[in-house]
Amino acid sequence: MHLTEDELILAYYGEAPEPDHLAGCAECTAAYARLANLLDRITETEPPRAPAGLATRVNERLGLPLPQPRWRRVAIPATIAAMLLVAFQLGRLTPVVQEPVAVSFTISPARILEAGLPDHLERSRIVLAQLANAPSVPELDISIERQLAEDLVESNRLYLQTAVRERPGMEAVLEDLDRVLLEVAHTPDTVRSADLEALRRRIEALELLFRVKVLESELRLRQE
Amino acid sequence: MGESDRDLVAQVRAGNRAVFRHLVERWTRSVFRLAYRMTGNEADAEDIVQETFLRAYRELHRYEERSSFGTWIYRIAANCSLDLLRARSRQANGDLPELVSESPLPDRLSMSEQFRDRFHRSLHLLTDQERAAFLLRHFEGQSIEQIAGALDLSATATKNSIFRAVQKLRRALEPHYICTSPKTS
Repeated sequence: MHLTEDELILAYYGEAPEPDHLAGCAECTAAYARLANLLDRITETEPPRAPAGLATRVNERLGLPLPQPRWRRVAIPATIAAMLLVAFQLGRLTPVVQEPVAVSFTISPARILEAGLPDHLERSRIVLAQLANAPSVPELDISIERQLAEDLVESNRLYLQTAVRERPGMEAVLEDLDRVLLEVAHTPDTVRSADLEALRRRIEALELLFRVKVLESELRLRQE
Repeated sequence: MGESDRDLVAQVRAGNRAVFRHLVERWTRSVFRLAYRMTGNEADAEDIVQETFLRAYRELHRYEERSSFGTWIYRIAANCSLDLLRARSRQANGDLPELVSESPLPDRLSMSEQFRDRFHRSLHLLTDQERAAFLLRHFEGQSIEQIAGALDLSATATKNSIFRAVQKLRRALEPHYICTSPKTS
């Protein structure tokens, strides 16, 4: 009895039922060689390479950013927030000008808004994505997201105040973002799955991830 | 990046969730290859890669360490691919799958390119289950038991799927590529 085609297939994958027969039978050896020839050629077929940046896009969707040095995480938002505060106060305190005066340098709040807000939105989006995609476990440690949200709340308030005056169209997104960031900032470090689910539903109901992403993209386009 | 998959999974489970990005970077290419062979196009394959890692991340607590992370992620990828193909199949209202064209391929393609092209199109002749079982066995080296577990089949049904897949591929490919030497380029 010669090996069937199914048995030859098993032999190819290292599960030959009768390896001794295959070694000693010329007919089965020839049939095996023909099958192996084809399957070996199939092995050599390579699909296209994965698109560039695919892993990065997956990580972004999961809200898994590249780790940044601590100084950068703190310094950049703090600098932007400080500049914004100065610009905001300048705008508020500058008296109505009666006569033309020579102004050597003025920081425009609108310019700072456009310069700093995209990064702020990106960081906020990462926090939201991390929470939206977090694993379903009975209790989840969200201390990192909570701390990030706490950092973001203050600068978000400043951007919101500036936006009210300079770019009214952005106001709604920043207001909703403010509410959610505040909620996250006031959440305990460990959250129960039911509470996390409720938070996720609120983020989804507001379509906040999408809206933040759209605003961020618009602002980045303007920068270009 | 020298840490094992198990170490990385343990760190994610311990709360260092950013470490999951290393697993994504390590496995994206392999998952993409499987997804591309399952679906036959890059856009769908990319969607499957995204969905696979999203499910893996959310369900990491279900991962049992007696199997490798690779086996587990392939299992998810295969099921994501099957879900997408089933959804497509429903949308198409039972239209026949794209069959392998008998028209000659452009002469400018080398023999190996022609073979690759015909092979990828031949995969459409297999049922979704046959395709998944064959790809996991042939390209990813999964055992019958692992494939059976991944696709929720018996070992016998898994073997039969692989047998049928190989038979169909032979019928589609051998008439065009009967060669005496194993490598022709």
